[in-house]
Amino acid sequence: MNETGYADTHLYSSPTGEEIGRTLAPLLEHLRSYDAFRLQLEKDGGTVIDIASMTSILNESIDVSTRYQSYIVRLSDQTSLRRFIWSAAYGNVHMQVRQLASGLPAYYLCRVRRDYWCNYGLVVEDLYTSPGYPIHDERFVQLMDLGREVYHLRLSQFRDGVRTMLDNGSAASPEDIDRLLYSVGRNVFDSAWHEDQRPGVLTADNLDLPFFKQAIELLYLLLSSDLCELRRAVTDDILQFLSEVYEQPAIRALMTKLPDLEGDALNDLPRSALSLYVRLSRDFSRFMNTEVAWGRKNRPTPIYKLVFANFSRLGLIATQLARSDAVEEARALLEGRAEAMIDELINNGSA
Amino acid sequence: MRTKPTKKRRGARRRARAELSRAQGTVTSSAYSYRRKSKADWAGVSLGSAFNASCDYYERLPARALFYRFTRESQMAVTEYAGVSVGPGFEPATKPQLSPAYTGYPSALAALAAIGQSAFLEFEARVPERILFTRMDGYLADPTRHDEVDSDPEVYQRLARAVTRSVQSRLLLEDLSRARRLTSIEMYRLFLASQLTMRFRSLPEIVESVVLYSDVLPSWEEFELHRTTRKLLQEVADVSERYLGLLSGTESERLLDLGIGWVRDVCKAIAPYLPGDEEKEDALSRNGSGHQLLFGQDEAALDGEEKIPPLDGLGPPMLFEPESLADQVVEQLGQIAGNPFAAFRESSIGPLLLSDVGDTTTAILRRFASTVCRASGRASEWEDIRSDLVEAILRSSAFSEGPLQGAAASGHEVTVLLGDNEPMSGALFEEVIQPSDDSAEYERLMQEAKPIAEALRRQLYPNVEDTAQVERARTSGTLDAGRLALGDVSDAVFRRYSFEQRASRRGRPVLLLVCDGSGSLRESQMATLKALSAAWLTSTARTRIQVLAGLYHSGVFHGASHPTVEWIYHPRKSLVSRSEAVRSVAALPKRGSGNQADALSVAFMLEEARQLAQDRMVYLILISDTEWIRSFSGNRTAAQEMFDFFQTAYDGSDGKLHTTLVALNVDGKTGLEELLDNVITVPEAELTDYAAVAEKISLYVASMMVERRRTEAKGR
Repeated sequence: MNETGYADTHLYSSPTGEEIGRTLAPLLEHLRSYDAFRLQLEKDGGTVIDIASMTSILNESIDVSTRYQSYIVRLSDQTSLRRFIWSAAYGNVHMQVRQLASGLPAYYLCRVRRDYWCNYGLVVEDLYTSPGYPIHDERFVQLMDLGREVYHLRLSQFRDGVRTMLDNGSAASPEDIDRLLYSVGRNVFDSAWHEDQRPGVLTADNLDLPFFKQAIELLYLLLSSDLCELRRAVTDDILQFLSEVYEQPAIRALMTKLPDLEGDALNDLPRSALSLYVRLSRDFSRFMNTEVAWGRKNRPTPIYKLVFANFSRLGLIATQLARSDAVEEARALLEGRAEAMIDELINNGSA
Repeated sequence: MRTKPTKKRRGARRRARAELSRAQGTVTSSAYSYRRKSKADWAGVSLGSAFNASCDYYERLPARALFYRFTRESQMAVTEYAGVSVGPGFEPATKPQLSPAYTGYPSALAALAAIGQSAFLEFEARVPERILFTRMDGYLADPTRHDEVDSDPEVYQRLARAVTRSVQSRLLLEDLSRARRLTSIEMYRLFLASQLTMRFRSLPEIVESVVLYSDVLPSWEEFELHRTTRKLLQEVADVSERYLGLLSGTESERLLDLGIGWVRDVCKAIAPYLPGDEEKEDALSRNGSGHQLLFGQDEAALDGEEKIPPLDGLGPPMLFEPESLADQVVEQLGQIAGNPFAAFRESSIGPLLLSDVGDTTTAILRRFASTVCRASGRASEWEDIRSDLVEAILRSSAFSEGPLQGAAASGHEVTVLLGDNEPMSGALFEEVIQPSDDSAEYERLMQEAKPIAEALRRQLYPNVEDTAQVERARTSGTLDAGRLALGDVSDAVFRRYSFEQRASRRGRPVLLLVCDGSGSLRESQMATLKALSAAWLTSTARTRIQVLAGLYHSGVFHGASHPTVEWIYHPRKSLVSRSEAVRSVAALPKRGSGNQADALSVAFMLEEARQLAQDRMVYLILISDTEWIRSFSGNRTAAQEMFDFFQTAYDGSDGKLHTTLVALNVDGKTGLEELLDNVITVPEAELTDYAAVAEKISLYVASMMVERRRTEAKGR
């Protein structure tokens, strides 16, 4: 049986991962050659001949065929690519094109799971990523969906980790990996991750604020999920995932406790989370308003200006910020507050 | 003893219940009982949702209303700060800017940046006397002479303009930073800083980075840069340091004097690096003041080979940002010594590639650029412009209008059946009109619409539903099956059903008001159109009829003109209530604009009405000057397209479409009299004579009443 519930021999069954891989193979092969040539041009330069060759690579016809139809696609014809990819995977595979700083295109092909019960679509497998394709936040990707760019949760980053986790002597099947990713996606990450968290979480990643990041995700999970539903979804696999693949001790601790909670305690959790969310937001604002000496003249500048002005290159300012005593002090304060807040929710609070 | 709660306490209880239910995770809205909880359920609607396609449509709507309100308030604040009095009829000089909200920047911050951009541009438009360009007009006409430098005059003038642009923006930012309630402008500056690639590819980018953002960027001393880039950054920063220090202590009135000195000092600091007058043709290098620096061409590329420097490498900066990728490559290619094509022609693929493009480097590069544009540009016109493309545009046009402004428009691909159900496709954009705050204009419009509204003030539009009638089945012969002596036979054998249309009190019919707003409409025609629209909206305000009203013409989206539908009122898309919809009519321009695509636009609006009607009656009122314009390719004329469209629409409506055409400035026939239910012509002489129009409307009302009585009689 496949995921549609019909037997694989059914005329309208969804193509399996293996079949999708076979269908897309000529296109992926072409993309690899294109990217190799592009990198050469971008890094080493070339000649007029190379420019002409690049033009011909982009215009080259690629013969591909799906279960029922043959197509001729070109990288320079995005409509033909879309039509073919839709037909190859019935909308389960998405191809996103981005223009790089050099002006040349970069490609991202991924397998997407659209779940009616999720706010976000789930990217469960990266089929191809061009070198240099811009992914600023590993947790989210923006994909053009019905004419609009929509955020999707990028769970494909956990695929290898899940494969290792499920490997009990015999290799885990792609279906098993998918099943676990769907489960954590729908029950945990769809609520725990939100695109509004990006400034906070990216700051936490770059300025080493692990407790703050855990606290944000925990609060969102408590506030955006239905806890009754969540406690029914707790499985050993999910708990193992949260300790081995995506280390999130706070959410793991919550999910371990959830099945044993009384109803009133369960009801109290979102209420406490709401007030703690306000408190954490205030603490984070205080952290972001901390002034650090910056620039040629070491003028006092609040951290938020530096973060917002360098959002796509936070790594560059993180090194400079790390040297500041004021940042270190503010960081320690915020981390302490976040840790206490997690503790209050998990151990001392209603839980 | 329990007392009856007061109104205030009841409100508090309701709020508490809602809060509790939110906290408990139950969804309060009955319309979305199956929807997952979202952030809006516990944190409320934020500005960031306004243009975030990941949010629910009905979450975006209130956020959008908030966004436009804040934008307007900030525009009013800067106008006031500029010394212009602001009244209720305030008309912003610039459109609300939306581009930052369509980038990959966090949505809440991006919305603030968009508000800041709108405020900045509004201020710039309001203070022509504070614009550095105006003050430095004489200098900019011939900066080489004023600064006594021997650089190429044309290059130096372009440089001076670029520097003036950056310094002017910096001065305006400084000026605005002193006003209260305008933190969004600083947010816009931070947003622009985040869009920089930090490659410093051109001279203007170097100047901009130092003058506008040097206080928030990481130190470039830690980057790997070409030595020319590093040297130029150092020079510009050294000169600017003094001025940046003086900025905060300078009075607003003296800022321009500071700016003049700043521009000239920066230009003079860069001048030694620019190509001299005699080297104009080369535009390559400069031997002056001991500098051996190059623009746009590395030493390695001058070794006599046709070598193109790395597209993404650490090259020297270009003099100016090229307009396209082809120009960039040409710029980087520079002047190639010897015969550049000798090797190429002799190569195995050379003749093949050159056969259809002509044997010039430029032709190859242009073909390359157009191919790359197709491969990495927008896939189709109706889609939102991709965030990476918006970011690229904003990078090259900081502190000026972005590609997305005004009301948020959505693109649609529409398929219309014409003639023998022949499908024709076209794309159009739709947006919602922002209501006017001009009370005087609103009052005037209401006054003009009054006689027509009074003529219309009867509920003319009953719903029509199909009712199954049971009839006795009779055979055609003399033998009546009903009289046959039969033992036990089901009644169904002798029954048959017929369907009749009857007036129904159940269900809400939809009144679709379609206004042609194209350029062919003169001021008087537009005034009548506005009065009629206002009258129809007013007369149906307290009825059960659902109203949908829109104007169609064309608008410019992504640099090209496209058919556009602007909703005056749409129950699911408008940001105003039904009673305030006339304010959107008041916001319509005084005369028509653009070219319309009649059949395409009317088809799209009718489809929207049908979705709203859900198999109930649709009353379409089309107000037009009947100067139709073709929507589709083919042999049909525009009038034929309209005729065929209406015919197909009637055929597919199952009797649930009633159409009235109000033909403005038409004295004779429109060609649609035979097909449509009603045609009201308003000749030129009666265009602004609203009493005469009201009389015609009265006749229309009378005919509708007769029609209604007939329909209702069937229902009894």
